[in-house]
Amino acid sequence: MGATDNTDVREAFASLARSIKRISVYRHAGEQHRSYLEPAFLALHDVLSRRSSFTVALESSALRCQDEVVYTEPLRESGFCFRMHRDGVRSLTFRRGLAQDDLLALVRVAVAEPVDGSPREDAVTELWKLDLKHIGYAAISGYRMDAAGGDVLPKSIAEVTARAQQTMEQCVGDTFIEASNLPPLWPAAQRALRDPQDWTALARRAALTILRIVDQEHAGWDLEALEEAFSRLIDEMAARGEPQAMAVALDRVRKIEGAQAKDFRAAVARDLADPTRLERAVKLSAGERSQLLPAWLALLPPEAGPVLVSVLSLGSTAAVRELIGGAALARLSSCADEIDAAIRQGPVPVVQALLAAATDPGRRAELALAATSNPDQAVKLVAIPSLAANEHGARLLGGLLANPSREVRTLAAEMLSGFAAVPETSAAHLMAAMSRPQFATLDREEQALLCRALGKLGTTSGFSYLFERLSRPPKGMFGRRKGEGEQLLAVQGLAEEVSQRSLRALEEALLPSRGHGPAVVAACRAAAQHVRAAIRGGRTA
Amino acid sequence: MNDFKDVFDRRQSTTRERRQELGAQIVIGLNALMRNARSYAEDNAVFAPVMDALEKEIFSLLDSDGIFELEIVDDAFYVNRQALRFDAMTLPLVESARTELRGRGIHGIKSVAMPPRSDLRLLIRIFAAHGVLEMGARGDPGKPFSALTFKVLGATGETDASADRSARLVTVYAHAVCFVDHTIQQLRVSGELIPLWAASRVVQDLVDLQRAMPRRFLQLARTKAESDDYWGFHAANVAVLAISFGARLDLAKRRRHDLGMAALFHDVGMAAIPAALLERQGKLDARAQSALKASPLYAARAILRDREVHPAALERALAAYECHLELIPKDGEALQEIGLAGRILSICESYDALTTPRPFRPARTHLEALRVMTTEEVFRYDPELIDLLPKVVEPLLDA
Repeated sequence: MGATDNTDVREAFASLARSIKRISVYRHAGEQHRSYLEPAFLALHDVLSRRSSFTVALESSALRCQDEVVYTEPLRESGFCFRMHRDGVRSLTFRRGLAQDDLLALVRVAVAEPVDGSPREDAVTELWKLDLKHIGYAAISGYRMDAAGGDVLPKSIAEVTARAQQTMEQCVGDTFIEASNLPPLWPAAQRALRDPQDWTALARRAALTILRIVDQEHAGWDLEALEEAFSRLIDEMAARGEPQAMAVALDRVRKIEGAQAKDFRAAVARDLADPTRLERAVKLSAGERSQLLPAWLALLPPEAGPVLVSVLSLGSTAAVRELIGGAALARLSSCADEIDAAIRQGPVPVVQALLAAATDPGRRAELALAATSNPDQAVKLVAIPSLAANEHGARLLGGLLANPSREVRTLAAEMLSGFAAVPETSAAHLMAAMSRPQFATLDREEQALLCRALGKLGTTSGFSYLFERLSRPPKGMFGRRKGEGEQLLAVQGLAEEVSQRSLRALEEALLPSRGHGPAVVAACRAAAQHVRAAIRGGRTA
Repeated sequence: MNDFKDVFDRRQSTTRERRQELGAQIVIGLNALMRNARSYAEDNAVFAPVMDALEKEIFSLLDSDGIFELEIVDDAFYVNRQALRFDAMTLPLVESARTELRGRGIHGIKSVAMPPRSDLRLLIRIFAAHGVLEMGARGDPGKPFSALTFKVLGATGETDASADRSARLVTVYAHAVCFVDHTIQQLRVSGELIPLWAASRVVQDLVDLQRAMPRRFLQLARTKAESDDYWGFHAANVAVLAISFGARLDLAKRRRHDLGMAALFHDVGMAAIPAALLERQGKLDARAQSALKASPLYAARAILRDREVHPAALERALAAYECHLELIPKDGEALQEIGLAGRILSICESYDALTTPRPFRPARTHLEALRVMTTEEVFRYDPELIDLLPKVVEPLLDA
C-alpha cells in the first residue's frame, strides 16, 4: 500500500472523529448513535472493500497506518485514542465484513464517559469481552506480577512456573490428545434459566452483603468505602428504575445492628438527602404500593426537611405526597419556614398533602388556618375541613363566616354544622354571623344554608333562635313582607333539626291562631311532613 | 475478632497518593534534565533547581520506602512498584522521557542510598548531545555512579511473547498464583496491591488458553501447593476448574472471566486470619471458628471496597462470598441467595481442597474426592451442577 493509499483511511477516521464527537455530546440519546455513526461506517466499509484488512497503531493522540499518521486529535481525555491507549490498547485491526454494531461497540469503549452512564471496566477488558468479530486489537502484555509485586512475593514467578511445568510434563505426555471442542453439558434453555444475568438481583445481593459486613462489624477501616459502594448501587438501581430492589436494601439499612451501624446509616442518610437523588426516588415511587419511599424517608436525617418540602410537588399521587409531607412534618424543626411558605403559597396538592400528613389535630388546624391566607381559592377550600379539628377550630371556622369569598363562607358554615364536638360554640358563631347586618346582603341560598347549618347542629340556643324567628318575625318598613322571608329561612333551619321539638314548633305554626301568611304555613306543613318522616325513619339531628 | 480485623486496617507509612505525586514529579524532572542536557553543559545553573527538586523527591521516597526505584514496564512508569498515572497535559513530557530513556537502553533507575549531587551531574552527562556510547548498570563505565544504578535489559529478556502456547499456559498460571499470594500478603499488612486490571488480563489469558486447549488447560489443576503456600495455588486451581466448568456449560466468554476472577479472590478473606491459626492442627476453638466463618465476608469486603458496581465486580464479590455459604442453612440461620457463579466455585473449591494435601490431612485421589462430593457431602452442592462435575474433571482421570 503506497502513501496515497492511506488517504481513504485518513478520511474514514476523520469521519469517525466527527461521529464520536456527536455521540459524546448526545451520549444519552443511545438510539441515535447508529445513525451518527453511519457516515464513518460507510467510509470504513469503503476502505475495506478495497483491502481485506488494515491495522492502525494507536498512540495517545494519533493513529498511524503503515507508519503514516492517518488521524490526530488534541491530547485530551475525551478523545478517541486517549482511554484505549491509557489502558494498554496499542493497535486496532479492521477486517472486511465489519458490521455497524461492531463499530458502535468500539466507539462506546473508546469514549471517556460511558454512553449509558453505567459503571465500566478497563478498555482492554471491555474489548476482550466484546469479542468483536471484525475488529481486532493488540494490547501491552499487561501484567508483570514480579515487577508489580516486588520483593514481597513468597515465591517468584519462575519458581511457580517451574513447578507447574513439572506437573504438566508429568501429566501431558507425548500421547496426550487435545480435544478442541468438548460438547456443552447444558442446552441453551437450561443456561438461560440458571444464569439469567440479572443485574438487579446481583445488585440487591451485593447491597445486602455490604449490610451484612457492617451488621457483623467486619467493615473496619473500609466502612466509608463500603458506604460509597452501597450508595453507588442505590444510584445505579435508581438509574435502571428498580424501586423494589432499592426498597429491600434501604429497609435493611434501617435494621442493621452493630457498632458501625449508626455511622453507616448516617452516611447513607446524607446521600439519600441529596436533592437530585430524592427527586429521582419520588419519581420512581409512582405506584401507591411502592415500598421505596417509606424505606427511603425513614432514613433521612432530621435536617432533611427543606429538601423534602421542595420535592413535595413531584409526587405523582396523593398517597406519595402525603408520605413526603409526613416526613417533612416529622422534621419540622428544620423546615418550619419552608412548610409555612408551602402552605401559604403552594398549590392545592402540596397543601392537601401537608394537611393529610398532619396526624395531630391541633397541628392540622394550625396548618389549615395558615392555608386560608393562600391566595388560591381552591387551597382555602381544601384547608377549611381541616379547621374542624377542635374547639379552637370552631372559632377559626366562625371567623371565616365573615370571609369575602362566598365559597369560603358557605364551606365554613357547612363545616360548623357538622361540628358535633362543640355544638353550642358552633351555633354561637353561626348565630353571630346571622345577626350581622351583612347577613341581609347575602343571597337567599347562602342565608338558607346558614339557617340549615344552625338547625342541623340541634342545639338549644340554635332552636330558640330559629323558633323565635319563626314566631316573631322582625317587622320591615313595609309590614310583614320582609319578616316572611326570615320566617321561611327559620322553617328551613327547623326542618333540618329533625327533632320532636322542631316538629312541635312547625305544627304549632300551622295553627290559624298564629296568623302566619299562607307561604309560611305551606312551608311549615311541608317541613313538618319531612321532619315527621325523618323521625319515623330514625333520623334525628 | 478485633485482632483479626486490625490486619486490614493498619495505616500505610507512605500513602499511595504521595508516592504517585513524587513519582510523577521525578519523571517530569528527569525529562527536564534530559531536554536541557542537549543544550547546556552539566555545570550550567539551569540544572540547579531541577536537581534540587529531584534530590528532595528521591530523599522523600528513600525516607518512606527505603528505596528509590523508577522502572519502565511496557508503556508505564513504576515508582517503588507503584504504577504512575499521568493526566493528558503531562503525557507528552512522559512519553518524551520514556523514549529518551528507552532509546539509551535504560529501563529503570534505582538507588538504595541518597545519591550525591555528582551522580545527578553524571546523569546529565549521559544525556548530553555527545552522550555515552556504552551504558552499564552504573552508567558510564568510565565514570560510574556512586549510588544510582541503571536497569539495562537485553532485547531478549523483556517479554515472553515469543514463548509457545504451552509455555504461556504455565506462565499465566504462575502469574495467577503469585497474584493471589501477593494480594493476601499485602492485605495482611495493608500494603500496595497489584492493580485489578492486571488480574483481569491474567484471567483473560486463562480463558483464551482454555478455549484453545481445554484438556491441557485442566491439567494445570494438578499443580498442588506445598505446606506453606496453599492459598495462591488453591485459588489458581479453582480458577482453572471454574473456567473449565463454565466452558463445559457453554457460558459466555465474559461469564467465564467472571468465574476466573471470582476464583482468584474467593479466599482473600484469609488475609484477616493469622497464618498460625490457619496452620493449626486439630479441632479449632470457638474464636478460631468464628474467625474462619467471617473470612468470606472479608473477601467480599476486600473486593467491594474498590467501590466498583459494574456487573463483573459485583459477580466477583458475590461469588467470592457466596461460594462459602451453606446451600441448606443450619438451624436458625436465614436462607441466603447463591448465584450460579457461587455454586460453581463452591464445587471447584471443594474438589481442589480435597485433592490437595494439607498439614492436617493427606490429599484424596481424584476418584475419592468425587465419591465424597457426590455421596457424603452431596447436600452441600447444587444438585444439577454436582452431577456434572465428573464429566467436567474427567480429563484429570484420563491423564
